[in-house]
Amino acid sequence: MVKTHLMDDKDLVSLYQTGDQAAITELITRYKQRIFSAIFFLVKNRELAEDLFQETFIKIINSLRKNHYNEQGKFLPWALRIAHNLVIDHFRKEKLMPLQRDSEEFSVFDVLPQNEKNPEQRIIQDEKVAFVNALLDKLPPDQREVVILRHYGGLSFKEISKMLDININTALGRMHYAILKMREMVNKDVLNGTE
Amino acid sequence: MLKNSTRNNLVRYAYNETGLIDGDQTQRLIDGDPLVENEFKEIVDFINLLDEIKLEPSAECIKRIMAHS
Repeated sequence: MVKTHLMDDKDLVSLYQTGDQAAITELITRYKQRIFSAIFFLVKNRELAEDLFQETFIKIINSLRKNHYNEQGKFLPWALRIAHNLVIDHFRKEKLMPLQRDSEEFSVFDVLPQNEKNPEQRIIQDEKVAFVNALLDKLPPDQREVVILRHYGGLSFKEISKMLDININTALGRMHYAILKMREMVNKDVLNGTE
Repeated sequence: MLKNSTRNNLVRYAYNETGLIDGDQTQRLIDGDPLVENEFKEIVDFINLLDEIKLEPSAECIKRIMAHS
């Protein structure tokens, strides 16, 4: 039996292209949190994030089947680029501004990892997600995008600069200004309205 | 007040994106200046805060993808 969890992305892609389903399962398991978190923080709606995540992986699967993948082992940047383009396409089609608010039915519990079973832990996690959401929400879109792609997507600054067609120092600058701004918000307690 | 280039280096270092030589230089800068050290600590604290959030799609969503595969 092939131990897919020990294989690198490039080998998993090759294995899937020979028809081994375990390879795509491993790629999804490996990257579902990063890709889903990046989509979620960009669209801030669970159902939409799930739809776009699904669409991302269907595109990935179709590309792999057609042998259109040629990223020399750089699976994650490629996958995130697909996800990012789908998010942009969605907002273009809908003519909506990104980062709209969630519906009242939204529960952050629905997007937390399945192993977070303890209710107390879930409440704490719920508060953390809401807190980070609020911080990200107050950032300028270009800074927010870099934070999400670097931190939740796991792309390097070099990969982000390539993806967004910006200079690496611009990407680094946006990240550092985002951190400064978020820190200022936390220090001033803007989020609790006690500024 | 730190230079933007110093802050950019600190951000890069915090994310382990510096090479060995640049990383060593940045660490020396951190060790040699309390202002830089404090700035670096605050960047790392913030990264740790962001790091505490882990989200994932539902099992149903994964099932739908696997059905397509």
